[in-house]
Amino acid sequence: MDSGKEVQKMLVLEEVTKSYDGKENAVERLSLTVKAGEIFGFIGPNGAGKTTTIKMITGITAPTSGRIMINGIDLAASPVEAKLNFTYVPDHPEIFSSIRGIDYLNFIADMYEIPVAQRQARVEKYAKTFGLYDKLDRLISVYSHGMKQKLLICGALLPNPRLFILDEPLVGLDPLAAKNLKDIMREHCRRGGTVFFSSHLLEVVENICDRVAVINKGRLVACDRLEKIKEESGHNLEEIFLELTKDA
Amino acid sequence: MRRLAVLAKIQLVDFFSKYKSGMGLRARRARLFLYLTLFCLAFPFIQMSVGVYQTFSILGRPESAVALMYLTVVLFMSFTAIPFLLSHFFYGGDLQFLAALPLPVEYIVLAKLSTLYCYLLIINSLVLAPAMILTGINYQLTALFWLLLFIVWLLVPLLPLLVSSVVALGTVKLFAPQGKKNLLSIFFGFGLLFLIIGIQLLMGGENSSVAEAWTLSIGGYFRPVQWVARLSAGSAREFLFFLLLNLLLAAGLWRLIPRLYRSALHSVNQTAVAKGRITYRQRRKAVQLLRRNLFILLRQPVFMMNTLLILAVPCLMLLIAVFTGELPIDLMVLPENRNRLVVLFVTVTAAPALLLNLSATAITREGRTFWETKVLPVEVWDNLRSRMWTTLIVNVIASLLIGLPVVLLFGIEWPVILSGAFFIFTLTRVLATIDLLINLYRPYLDWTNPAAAIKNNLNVLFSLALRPLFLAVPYFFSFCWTALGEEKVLCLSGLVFLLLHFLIFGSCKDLMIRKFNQIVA
Ligand SMILES: Nc1ncnc2c1ncn2[C@@H]1O[C@H](COP(=O)(O)OP(=O)(O)OP(=O)(O)O)[C@@H](O)[C@H]1O
Ligand SMILES: [Mg+2]
Repeated sequence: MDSGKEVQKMLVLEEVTKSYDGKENAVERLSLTVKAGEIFGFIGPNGAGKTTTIKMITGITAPTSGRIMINGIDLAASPVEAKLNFTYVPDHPEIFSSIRGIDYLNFIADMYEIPVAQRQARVEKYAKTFGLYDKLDRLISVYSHGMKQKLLICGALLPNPRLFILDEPLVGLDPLAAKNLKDIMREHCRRGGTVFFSSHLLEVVENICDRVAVINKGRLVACDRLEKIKEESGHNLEEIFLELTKDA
Repeated sequence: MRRLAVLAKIQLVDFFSKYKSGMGLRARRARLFLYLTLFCLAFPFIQMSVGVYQTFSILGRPESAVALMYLTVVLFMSFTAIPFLLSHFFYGGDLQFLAALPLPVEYIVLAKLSTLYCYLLIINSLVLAPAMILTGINYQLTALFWLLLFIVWLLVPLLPLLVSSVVALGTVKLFAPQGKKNLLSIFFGFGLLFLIIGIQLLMGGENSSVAEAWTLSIGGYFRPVQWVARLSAGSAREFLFFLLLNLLLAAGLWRLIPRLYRSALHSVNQTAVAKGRITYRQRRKAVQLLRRNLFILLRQPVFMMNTLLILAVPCLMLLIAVFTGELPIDLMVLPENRNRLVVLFVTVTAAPALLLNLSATAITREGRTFWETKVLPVEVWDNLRSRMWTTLIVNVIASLLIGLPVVLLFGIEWPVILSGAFFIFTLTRVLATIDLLINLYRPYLDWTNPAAAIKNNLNVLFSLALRPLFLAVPYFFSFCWTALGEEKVLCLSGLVFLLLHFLIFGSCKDLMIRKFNQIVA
């Protein structure tokens, strides 16, 4: 603020509510803001509503009420423009698998209209990072769970998205791949990108996140810089997490 | 044993529930509709069986009808069972899951086979039972014989079960390593179709003596044909033979179980590896979406097989009709038959549009991968349009492939070809739109067995039920204005379809987009 240049808001949720059955709210009046250039962690116990929130942000399901802005664009009003700003890696790598890995990557690249030279450079960079390059000429249906996940991550990185959204990205990855992904997330932010991811793994969140939001039973219970949350309560993250998500 | 019963029941429920899949309807109405449809499907078989009985009872040999129907049903069951085993057992989705349960191998295989057995029993009831019951009544059988016939009814599927298991095992061994499993299923599917249509034509009227001669000569080598026939005429000795044979069959099947299991697990875990160079190539968004939809249809073996089999029906009918002389080309081309010829040309060429309701499963086919297209930066309308185009492309190609031989064979004239093409194209378009609307209302995405996604679900039945309304249009025109030429009838109907198409596009576009957005992936 004091530098005169306002920090850009990459993702804004305003009072977002989602009910699957019209009775119970899976997510209730959730508001949060993710600034450009930060790594934002989204944590909460099983069934808290993390996946539901991410599905709403990515346009997979429409919120029952509330507004979602991505890079200043209303997702509901102009979905395509909004979607050009982010890519998404789901928690379950369920993709159409009767094509080869490279066909999938070409498909994604075409959807974001990435020129051939650029896509080739990025595919080679990321696929080689994850040790997937040699397998790109195979059918996805023979990939292992982790390989599919790596393929999805490579696909999501191809468009060099402003906002990179991941749901439980580290589950199912081997230690090396997990380290590589964390490095990629950090690098992505250094180059001005934004990362929003959900996780159970507290130490990961602790290591790489600039800010975290804690959600429980569909409600936001905390959202701040990690050091600040810790300072205020004087506990480590695990204790805070257990405290915040404890049944009242 | 109790665990086996539970497992078998789950398998059965899983298999037959796909007929009821995608609820959302008032349960009672849905059930009524379902039973009605099933009855319509079953009726021709019963009719065939009864018809054969009538033919032979006039000749004074009703038991020949039983012999013929027994032979038919055994062939029919075997050909049904092979693709069934291939798709539900050898390449079925849940075997790996079942293999992990603490169950004896025999239970798993028997549970799978029991679903097939029930399926075969239904066929048995439709094809063999009517002729057998009528013959039994004819010979005024005693209660004991009715009991024996009932046991025979229960035992008849055993032979096809064993035959199909052996054939399926053999073919999987031979062809699966080369990744030809799709081809396999298609091959047997076509075999079944040929059989059905061949039998239908053979049973027709004057051919029955030929059929009987064949049955007799086959019965000379394959005794069960005679046994079943004599048994239904009131001879008990043959029952013992039949029982003995089936005990042997059951023992054979039991011996086969471990092999079936091993081979099936092996083939489930085996997938063909596609090779090829890694290339980078830019394509337009619309082209990529279209490719994706086409690939989903053509690279998923069950989807492709279903499409091809449906398309094969009109082709085979036509072929067989021409070759058996039911459809004499020299007579059809006479001027007084022009009307019939045009109807033949148009119905055969319109068959893809009428029988293939690809749009009705355009969204369902995606299953759990549907979220992919929702996340991509693609306009909803473009997304929907690419699905309609997929249907259109497949249908038009199919219509061309089927229509061309008819044009050449019967020398159809240009005015008929052009007006027919207009009629078929507009029909295809309007049906593609309406079907997609049906699918949008009932997306049904969380299937596990691909067969459930494309066959026998209510969307497909709905869209088929709508078809007669569209066929009524040309009939209406030719009925109201008898003086109207065939070309004009086709053009007018085409115009009606075109109008309807624009009407639906105009009024339902926003609705379709809204419905698409509402789908929970
Ligand atoms: N498709 C759905 N239909 C109905 N209810 C759903 C659906 N998906 C999720 N829910 C419900 O919404 C709530 C939140 O689920 P969600 O998947 O968002 O949790 P999560 O925080 O991602 O949990 P986890 O850590 O286990 O992934 C749960 O109560 C769940 O039962
Ligand atoms: Mg989740």
